[in-house]
Order: sequence, then structure tokens, then C-alpha cells
Amino acid sequence: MFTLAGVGTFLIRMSVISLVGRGVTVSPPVEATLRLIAPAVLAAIVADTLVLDGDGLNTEWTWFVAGAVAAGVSWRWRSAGATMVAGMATLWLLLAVF
Amino acid sequence: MEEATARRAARAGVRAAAPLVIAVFPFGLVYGVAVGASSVDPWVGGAASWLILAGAAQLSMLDLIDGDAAWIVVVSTGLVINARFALYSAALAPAFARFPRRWRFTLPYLLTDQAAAISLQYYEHQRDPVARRWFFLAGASSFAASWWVSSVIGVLAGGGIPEALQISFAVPVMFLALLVPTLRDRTTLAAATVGAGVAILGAPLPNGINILIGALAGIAAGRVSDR
Repeated sequence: MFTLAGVGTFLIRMSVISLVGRGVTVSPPVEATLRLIAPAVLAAIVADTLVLDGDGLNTEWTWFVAGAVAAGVSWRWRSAGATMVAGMATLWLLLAVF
Repeated sequence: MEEATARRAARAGVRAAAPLVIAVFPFGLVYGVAVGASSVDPWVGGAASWLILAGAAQLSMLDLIDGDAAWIVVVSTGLVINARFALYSAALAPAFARFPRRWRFTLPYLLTDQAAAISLQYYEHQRDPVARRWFFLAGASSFAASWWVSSVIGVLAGGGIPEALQISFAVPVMFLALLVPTLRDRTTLAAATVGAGVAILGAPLPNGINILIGALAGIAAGRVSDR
């Protein structure tokens, strides 16, 4: 089963890359669409992993506070390392205090 | 000349991946521990990290196998969750089109959320195809290596990791660190807001489908807000 899913996953990853060959020029509207892919997918994953817990809403308020701090740090300093440290440190601090 | 470019780009890839590689680690541990606690053979569960190389899909598949789901359900769930890679494939395709064939047809194996995010960011200001492919190879391999090592350690360590640390929180923080730098203007912000909102509304849908329709709705919303 894992082998089957692995082969399928590889084909998905390859899909568009294998279709677009040399000399293909990307029109401005297509390019404008392509640059929205990363923010849209990543935001959906953040929502799924932070806000949701299975089918329901996550009730760990500590996660929301620490997530907001991490987002703020990322916005201000654009550093993945600082974001990770700030997020985890805030969570552990909250867990220690409350 | 080309070699120096390649080396510099590879170093940049490892550097960009480094803080996030650490965040992949707990995710891999969570998966490894789940394999250990399941009815799945540890070798098979570990091999999945090589075959599939995608955490969310592997975790869901594991869960289904443990619940004695039909194989077709298990496999299609994995593929639905990984369908988002087709979107990254599209986003990277214009850059990859200028790579030699052997690169174009092997690099996608390493395509993960993290690899796509850091590479797309790098490609904004790096046009050289040599630098671009070495950056992707080095960055994406870092994530893959972290995933393989951590899932094996998770299997071996079993329940040895204290629950109280809530290391699974590293997963949403990692994705926040990837998301925020992509928010540069009104359109990207619209895409992200709608993407997140629809993913939440879609929570009752099967795993992965809410992310997929959230992403598609977000992209559409971004295009509309551009008018």
C-alpha cells in the first residue's frame, strides 16, 4: 500500500513539471496565479494544523497565543529560526505558568 | 565558474532549510512513535518515509491501516492528501523547465511543502538555473534526511518522548514560518485568508480534502482581488 501511494505521490509531484518543457513562456496571468499557490496552500495547512483538531476546533488556547507570537516574529524579522524559537519558547512558558 | 555557483547555491539551500529541518524532526518523531504503537510492521512503516516522503499522508494512512480500512481507501486517502503537490509542481514548473532532463525527472521526488516554499522564495531573486537546481537539491535533501532519521528514531524511541513538551506544536509553527514571508501584498494576503478560512470550514470533510479545496479557493480569491 505504501509502495502504491509512493509511486502515485511521485507522479503527482512530477505532473506539471514534466509537462512544461524548455522554451515554454509563462503568460502574466498564469504567473500571477502561480505565485498565489504557496500562500494559499501553506495558509490552509496552518489552519488545519493550528486551528483544527480532528473534525472539531482546537481548544488549546496556549497554541493560539504562541502561534500569534510566532507569526508576529516571522512578520517582523522574516527569520525561520527566530520564528521557531519564539513559538516554542512562548508555548513552553505558557505551559509552565498555567 | 559553474561549480562555484553550484556550491554557493547548495550552501544557501542548506542554510535556508536549517531552522526548518529542526522542526521537521519532531514531526518525524510523532510519525515514528505512531508506527511503533500501530499494528504495522516497523520496517514497513519506516520504508514509507522513503517511498512517500510526506508526513501528513503517512500518518493518515497509518491510522487507516490500523483501523483495518480497505487498501483502496488507504491508498486514495494518501493520494488525496498529496494532491497539493500538483500545485507546487505547477508553481515550480517554469523554473524547472530550464533544468536538464535528468534533473527535471528526479528532483520532484524530493518535492515537499518545505522544499517548495524555500525554493520559490529563493527563485524570486535568483534567475540562474544552475543555482536554482542546486539550491533545491540541497534544501530538499536536508528536509528528506531529517524526515528519514527522525521517523526511525521515533520508531526506536517509542513512547520515550514526554507528552508534556507538546513538540507537535512545532508543526504549525514551521508552516507559519514558511507562510508569512509569502504574504507580500493584497492578493497573496487574500489568497491566504480565504485558503485558511475554507480549510477550517471544510473540517468535516475527509482528511486532506479541506486543505485542497481551501488552497484552490484561496488561489481563486487572490485572482479576484487582483482585478
